[in-house]
Amino acid sequence: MEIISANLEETKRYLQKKFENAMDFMARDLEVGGGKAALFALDGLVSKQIITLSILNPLMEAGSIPGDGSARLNYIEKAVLGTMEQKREARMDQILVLLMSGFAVLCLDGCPEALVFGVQGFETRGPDEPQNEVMQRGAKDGFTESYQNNISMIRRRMKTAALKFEKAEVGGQSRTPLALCYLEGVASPQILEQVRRRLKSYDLDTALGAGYLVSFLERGGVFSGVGMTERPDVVCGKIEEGRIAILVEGTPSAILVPFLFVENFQTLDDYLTRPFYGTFIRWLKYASFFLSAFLPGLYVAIATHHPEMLPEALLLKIAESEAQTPFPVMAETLILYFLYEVLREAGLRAPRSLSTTVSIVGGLVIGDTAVSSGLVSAPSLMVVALTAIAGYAVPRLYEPLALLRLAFLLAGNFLGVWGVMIGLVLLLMDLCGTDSFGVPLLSPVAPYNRRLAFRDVLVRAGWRRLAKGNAKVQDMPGSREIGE
Amino acid sequence: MERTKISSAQFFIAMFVSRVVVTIALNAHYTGGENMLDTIFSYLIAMAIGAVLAVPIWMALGRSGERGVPELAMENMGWAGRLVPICYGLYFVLVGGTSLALFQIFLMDTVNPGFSAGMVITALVGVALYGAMRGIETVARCATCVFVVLLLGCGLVFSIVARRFSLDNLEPLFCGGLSQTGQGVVLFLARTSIFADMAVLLPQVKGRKKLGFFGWMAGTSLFVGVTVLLIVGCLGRYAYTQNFPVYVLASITEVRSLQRLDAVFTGVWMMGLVIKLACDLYACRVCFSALTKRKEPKWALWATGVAVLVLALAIAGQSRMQRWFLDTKFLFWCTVISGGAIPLIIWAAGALGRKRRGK
Repeated sequence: MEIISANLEETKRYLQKKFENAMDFMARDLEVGGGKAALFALDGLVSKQIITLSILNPLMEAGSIPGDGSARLNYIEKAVLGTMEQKREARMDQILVLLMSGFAVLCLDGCPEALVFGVQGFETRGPDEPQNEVMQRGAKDGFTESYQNNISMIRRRMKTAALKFEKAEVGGQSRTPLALCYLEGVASPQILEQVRRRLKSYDLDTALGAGYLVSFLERGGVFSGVGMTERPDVVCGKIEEGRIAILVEGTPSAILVPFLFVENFQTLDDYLTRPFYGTFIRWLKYASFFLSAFLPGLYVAIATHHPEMLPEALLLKIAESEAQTPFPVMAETLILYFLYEVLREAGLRAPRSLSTTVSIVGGLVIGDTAVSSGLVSAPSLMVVALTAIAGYAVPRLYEPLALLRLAFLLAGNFLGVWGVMIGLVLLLMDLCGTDSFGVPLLSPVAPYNRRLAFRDVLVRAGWRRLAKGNAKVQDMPGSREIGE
Repeated sequence: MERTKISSAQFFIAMFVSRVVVTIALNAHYTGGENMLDTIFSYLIAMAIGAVLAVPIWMALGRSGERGVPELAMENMGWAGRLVPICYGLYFVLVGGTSLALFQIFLMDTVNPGFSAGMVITALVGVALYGAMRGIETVARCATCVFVVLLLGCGLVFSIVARRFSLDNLEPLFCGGLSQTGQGVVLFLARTSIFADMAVLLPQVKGRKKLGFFGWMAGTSLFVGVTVLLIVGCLGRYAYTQNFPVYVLASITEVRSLQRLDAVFTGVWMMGLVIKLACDLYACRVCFSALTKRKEPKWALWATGVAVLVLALAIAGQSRMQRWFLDTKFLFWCTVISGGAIPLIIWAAGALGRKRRGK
């Protein structure tokens, strides 16, 4: 580990070499207390106003300071500068990281240590309403790219000393800072240790988003045991149940672990409405999930292999429309589904000014022209459209649902309703066999716990009942201590 | 070796699902007569005998119950003990193969789907293998979910079809003598693999096992009773001409515009069958583990899966194989040996060993 030199010129040369060809590197030579000094910072990351007012002005006004470099640094630290965030640092690698994190570094000739000041001054986005987690009644502020702002948003909502933000870093080159956020005494120490261990296993050079970390935190399975949220209020609710949130610098969302399957169906709005309506909405989402995953598969299976299951009137309608199209039901549904995904992706990636045009053209082409030209049948189109809409009722599950739908479609085509059933058991096996940091993903349904299942899964109980009893995630049935 | 444990309720629910799968394949030909109502009593008697048959298992496993019969055999019987896990492994392959074969026969004879029945069977074995590979915990949790689906599915079919129930279809009990009841007892015991499952898997179960066992007996008796009563009461004489009367029962159900729920019934059967196969395959894995003294080798699981599949396809494809492997007497003796005789021998060997060491 390289230590800062007591010779100021040597330190300057070192830093200038490190930041060679970096036009944002700033070095300001000073005369402080009768000795040479230099202040280093990176343009764009620091606030020049703060530097001038809080560092340069007091330094210039300080008179002669007796003693060697170290004595002068001591005096400056204690009696001259009054910035809130300042510390001593002797390790060169740390100084480099701090410089690149928006700190200013003051070096004095004859002193083998530097003073670093938190004077970040880069532009950050304000806390807008989250785009992907829209709430009817919840707060309208969401996380931003600055993890420090995100920490403050959580802190503002939970004024307890038990709330901890543990600092860590990932990415060999990017050295992306992150914070493990949890409630001491509530979060399981074993799970916390496991999270730390898995974060240490992160061996990529960069971490440009929280999504990079997810694959290092989860352990296989169709459904992830790691959740994400853009809302500080959701994080507060989750850490209160013993979960751990990870706030990553540069990502406007927090990672939540352990994350159970049922949590994909829970939104803050469920808890802000009356219990009976919350329960109704919850079941609506369960139904949407099943509709979204199984409807195309079942439609193809029944229309192709088990038409006897359909009521006569419906069967005749489907047969009539199918007779006018050139493709079999399977191909038709597959094409429609593929086109829908293309449209969705195009709508998502197209410039905002064009995305409406893309949607209108796509909707018109698929919705109207394809049916009227006889290329696809109206029932198939309706099935795919219903599936797509139902999928958005549980947006957290969109990714696995998109692939599951396809798998069930193929299973339904080749093995009929039985293929879909076989797929369902396989999916159940996968769900039952996956855990998130030692907590079964399907808990408290499998393994079943009546008290917990009737608390916030099968019904959304009232707050009086929710307030009673233990609902810590690590105490879910079937949870065990985990080891790698 | 520390093993994952499941609760007693989970284990016996998985066993219930396995039993239901076997019950669904019930027909008059196998029960041996034309008064299926007698089979309700057959089942009750079979359960009473089963309770006695299970005693050697409880005795062999002892109070702590940390080791299964195959492990105890390896410990107490020297080289001869190696035969025990092999016997159990073969028994589970046989049970899995015959259950699967029955389903394939049902598909080929009764449903006659537009796709290969072999493909369905292969997919079922594949899913069961996946479950067995993930472990007993996965299978047990999945069994709980399937149990709910099964109860809902059967509940739906039974409640709808109950409207067709007619007392006129019922015949006096034991009108053809007691021979049919006896044959039913043998049939039910022949098609029950719970005793072997208990001998091998019970060490991985925690909680009140005996209560679970009696709960299983009561639950399956109720299920068999209701099923048989509905078959007889709704189908009358027609039931005796059918290979799979429960399927016929499902196929005549209709709820307003929803007709022919037989596909749902078959799907539920398949879900149960996957659980049964997964339990059998996992039990095989435990037997291999006892034999090789290594932690449940996965290659053995693959080998067992292939063996079950080949056996099922062979049984379903050849009538001679069907005569051998689906023979009630043959399966009955297999149950008695695996569920009663072997545990009794192991218990006796253990007791003898303890006595010798005491001297």
